[in-house]
Amino acid sequence: MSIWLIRLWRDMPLRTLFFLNVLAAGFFLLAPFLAPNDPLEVHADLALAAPSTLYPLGNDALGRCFLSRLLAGGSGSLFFTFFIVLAVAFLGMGLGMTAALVGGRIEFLFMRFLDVALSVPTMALTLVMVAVFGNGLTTTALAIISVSWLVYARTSHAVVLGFRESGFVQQARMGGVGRGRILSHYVLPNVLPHIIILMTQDFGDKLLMLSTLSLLGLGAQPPTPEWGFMLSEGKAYLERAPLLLIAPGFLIFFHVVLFNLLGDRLQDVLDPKRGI
Amino acid sequence: MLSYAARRLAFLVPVVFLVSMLSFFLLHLAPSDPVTMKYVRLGTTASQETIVAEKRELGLDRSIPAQYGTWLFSAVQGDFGKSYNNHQSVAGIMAKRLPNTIALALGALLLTIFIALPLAMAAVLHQNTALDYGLRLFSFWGTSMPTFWLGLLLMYAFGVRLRLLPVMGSGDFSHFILPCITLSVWLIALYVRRFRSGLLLELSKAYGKSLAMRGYGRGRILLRHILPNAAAPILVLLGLSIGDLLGGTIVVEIIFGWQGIGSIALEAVQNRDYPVLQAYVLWMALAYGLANLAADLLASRIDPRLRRTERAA
Repeated sequence: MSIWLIRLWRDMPLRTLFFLNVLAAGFFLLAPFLAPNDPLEVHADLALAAPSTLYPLGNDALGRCFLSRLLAGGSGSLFFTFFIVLAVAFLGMGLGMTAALVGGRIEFLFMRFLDVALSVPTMALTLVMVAVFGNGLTTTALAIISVSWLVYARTSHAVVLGFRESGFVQQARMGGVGRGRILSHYVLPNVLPHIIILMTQDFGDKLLMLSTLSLLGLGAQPPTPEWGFMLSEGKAYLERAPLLLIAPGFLIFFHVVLFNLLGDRLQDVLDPKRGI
Repeated sequence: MLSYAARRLAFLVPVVFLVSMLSFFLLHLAPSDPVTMKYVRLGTTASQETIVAEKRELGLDRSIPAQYGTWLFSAVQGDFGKSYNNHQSVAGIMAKRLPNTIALALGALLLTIFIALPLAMAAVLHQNTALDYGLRLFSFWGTSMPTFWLGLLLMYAFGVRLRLLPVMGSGDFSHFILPCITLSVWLIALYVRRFRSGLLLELSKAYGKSLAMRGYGRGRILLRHILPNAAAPILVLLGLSIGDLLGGTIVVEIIFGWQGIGSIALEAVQNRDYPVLQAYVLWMALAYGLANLAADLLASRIDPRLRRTERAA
């Protein structure tokens, strides 16, 4: 496991992208503390006001400081993006690997369950789960988790199937190595690279999913500032204040680009054709 | 071939049945119920008796398996119940809204095929030129672009600034253009990349090289020999992407006020309108399954090698 981690680390572009991602996400996770004004403070007289020294990017429709709302609007989604990806990777990998190792009827039923659940497009299933859990950023994140682990489970299961009957697992079993230890020391190191590729490509998707659900009014609830929801608020003032629309969208786009660049590079480095 | 299609179709029945069971039980086990949610939304309180009475009226007081039985019994007869929200028949709502969503998804799909394929072929013909790099950049941009933001920007550019196209609503063809483009950009970007790498993979095989050595032009090789071989696997992928396409219609429908099934589904989530949501999930599973089946069958039409595995299946 450490060998391929070192290989990843040696790749200069990958390292740079990794630091850029940490920097950008770290900045917007902490940015709420940098807000010059209270992002929730309403000034009816300053509705859609032009930039001023006190409000550097002007005010939104309710006269709230737009810069402060922009700075505060990313931390929730970004935090939950990381949380979701880590949670689904852990959950999906654990269940998928276990199913493959246990085998028999449990594996069969588990895989049929995955088949059925994955035969519904992700968005529809997520909507059902939002209806189950309720509106709000935390509950939406839970809804996304409850749907997204399926893909990880299927991938982990498929990877384990590839080497389940191969020598080293059988030998370990015959040598008296316990089930838990086989899972953590023999199977996990072989599954993890696949899962890490999946994870880095998923950050952008999950951020988009969260912002989409917020935009639809299912995620972050007003007056909490959140980029996705700010877009739907700004839509009504398309003509008079296009910045309300351009800025939050750009920040989402910016993070997705950074995530995707990292994911693409990682896949290039870990590409099996280059021999890992 | 025909018996294979029939078998695949028959396999779709238990899948849709299990999907309906899964979503029904998930929804009805949810901690919040539609009646309480209605009063929360209205901002009023109702007495316990009123809530219990209304629940009984909707049949929500019975055990969940019994409710599912009733639902299933009428659903197989084409009756999907009435919306909790406006008491219209769910089947009627679906029938009215479905054509709009299907038009949107189909339009985006056709746009994807007719734009992404020629672009990918151009990229392959002019590999490692400015055109190729430009298309790769477009592909990366398009897959990172949030659909909703793209939609809003297009709306701003063409509706507000240039005043060329209507911003909202559904009606004549001009209403159709922006939503359709918004929905397809992501898919076009993805499939320029996939078509490109699929074509390059085939081109690197021996038969491509030998044709080139015998003096055939690159364009002719690509069109007549490479394309049929590369098409089948990409077609199967395209079938799988239809799920995302159908899911993506929700955002586009909301942004552009398009009267489709996605906006209905969103309303149903907010109102805990179980019958509508249930019908929506079923439609999605069915459409996704049928789209995949169609893609697989088409692929095996194009590539005879795939028919052998069908016979084995």
